[in-house]
Amino acid sequence: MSGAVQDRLPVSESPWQQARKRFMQTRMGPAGLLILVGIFIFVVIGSILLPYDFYSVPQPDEINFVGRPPAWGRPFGETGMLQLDVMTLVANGGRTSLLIGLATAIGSITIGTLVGVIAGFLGGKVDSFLMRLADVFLMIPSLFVILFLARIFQGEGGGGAVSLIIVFVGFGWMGLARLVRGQVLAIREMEYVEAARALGVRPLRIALRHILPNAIGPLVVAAPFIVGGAIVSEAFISYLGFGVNPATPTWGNILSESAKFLQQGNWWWIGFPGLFIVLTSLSINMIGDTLRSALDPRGRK
Amino acid sequence: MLKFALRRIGASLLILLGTTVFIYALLLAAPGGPEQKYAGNPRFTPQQQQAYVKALGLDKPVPVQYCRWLGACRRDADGVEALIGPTGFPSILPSFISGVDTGIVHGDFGYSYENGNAVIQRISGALLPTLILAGLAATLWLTLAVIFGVITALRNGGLFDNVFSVFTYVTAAFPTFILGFALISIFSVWLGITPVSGMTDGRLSPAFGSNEYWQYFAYSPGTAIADLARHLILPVTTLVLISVAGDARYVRQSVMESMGMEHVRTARSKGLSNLRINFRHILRTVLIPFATNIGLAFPFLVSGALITETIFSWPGIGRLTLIAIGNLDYPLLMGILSIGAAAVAIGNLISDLLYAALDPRIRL
Repeated sequence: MSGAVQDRLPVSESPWQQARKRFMQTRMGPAGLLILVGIFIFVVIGSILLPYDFYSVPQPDEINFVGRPPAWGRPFGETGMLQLDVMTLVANGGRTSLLIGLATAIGSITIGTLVGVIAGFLGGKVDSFLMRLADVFLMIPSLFVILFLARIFQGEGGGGAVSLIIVFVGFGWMGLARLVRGQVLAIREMEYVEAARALGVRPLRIALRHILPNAIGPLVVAAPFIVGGAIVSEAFISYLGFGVNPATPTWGNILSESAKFLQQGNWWWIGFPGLFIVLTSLSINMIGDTLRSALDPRGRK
Repeated sequence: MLKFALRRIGASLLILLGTTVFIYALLLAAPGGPEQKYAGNPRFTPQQQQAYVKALGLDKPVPVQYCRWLGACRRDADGVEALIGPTGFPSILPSFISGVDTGIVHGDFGYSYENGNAVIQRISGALLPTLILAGLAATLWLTLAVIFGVITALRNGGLFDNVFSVFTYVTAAFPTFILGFALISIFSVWLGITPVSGMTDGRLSPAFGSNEYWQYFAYSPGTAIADLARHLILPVTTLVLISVAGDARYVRQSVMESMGMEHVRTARSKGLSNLRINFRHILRTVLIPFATNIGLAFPFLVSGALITETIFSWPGIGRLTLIAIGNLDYPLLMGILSIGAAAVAIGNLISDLLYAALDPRIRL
């Protein structure tokens, strides 16, 4: 149709292509990505090669609380009590921990976007109700309530990963909803949306087609931080014994067992799961921060 | 200003009211409850159970129960009359006006399931340890944040700035409890120079807060304070390491911004010394927003040290919360949550009002 004009224009990149280029040009972004991919590969290959089933672990013949430090064949050392291989535990625990992180991010973003778009787009009473609801949720120290709900849902000895994810999502959507609502309110007044409205485009189509795609920038930045936050929260809640059932290893469950013998100097048992949590969190921060500056329109040339 | 303040206080009260409804609903929906307390006891007859339920007012509709818990209704009256206290003033007003002393607005949070002590007594007992720990940590990290923030901004790109930005990155990635484990492993287990946990050395002194402890404290204050200080080292270090980086970054950012401001350029062109510019013209503009942010750290003083207190068995509010959650001690939990929410609201309010007082543009 207007191909002739477009042919003469210089080849332009979409904002996403530009952002990717800027992301890859930094040192932090690709380094963080590399660490995270490394952890993923370790967890996936590790949990395939070193399967773990709590119920088929043999009873050890001697009582050893502290375990054994790293040695050949067992590079991460051995736990006390059941004398398990720490590497097996870390690989299998990582699978659950990473799944909880990803599922929480997907769930929170879905609900947060939905609430934010509805509040921002409909406005009026719906908007003020949803935002006051978010205010109330934000007023209560969320860690308290997350711990309480986890205790209720999970029972005394811990429960499944799914109910933990539901609790995390239930307390993870508010910030995102506010973020999306702010974006929607700003974009709603832009001229191209006004033009679309003037052309008679239906409201639903305006919301989905014209507003949402331009409002997801901040969500892309927020997503890695939610994954990291959920992994850390899971670890802490499981460490307290309110999280995932101890028969399923997660990074938090391993810490929960090993912290009991912390004073006996079992650094490998507590150090390796701890190191993996820190590395995951570090790489996620690196990726998130780089994404933020890469997607910032002020950074564009 | 007064109008702004009144409006802001009104809004805070409304949100706080919403929060109490939320807390009440949450705990109402949770399993267990006062009538189930003795349910497992075979000697607890159904008649006794009914009498118990009636005595606690659990046979009333939920809104009435909520109203009584809040303290807006008297417990010895029904219907609309309950809203008015014996002195003729609304029940929700302070007890010396209304003559009503039940309900959380009058400081009556009920009794803990765990040991039957008054909730307010348990909370106030845990408040001092938390204030000592969080107060000391907050003072230290805010001071350090200003110092580091100013130095890194003035020596932008220098060695210290680079080292500090790496430090910021690493501490931001460390979850509090893992940092706590690392510090315990290194300083308590490996080097053996700090105590592992607790607030006092159990072999030397009575438990903190007991009457015996204060007698001991009065008898040998030097040893008591030294003991306390030794136990404070690791938890305070944990809190400072976790929090200093973020605030220092904030100070650095605002110093950088104010360095380019016109009044600073004017001062420079007048030929004022660098020292004078840095302290009089830059630091002042930076500290105003920073001071207002301290109001936002207020809830932290009451509740935020939960993780650190747990790791180091510090007998404060955070650990009390965990005990309450573990035992499903609803009165205690509701008390802590309500006081925590009030602390958040007061902190936000102080920060907003301070900001409005310092920056007239805010009062719209």
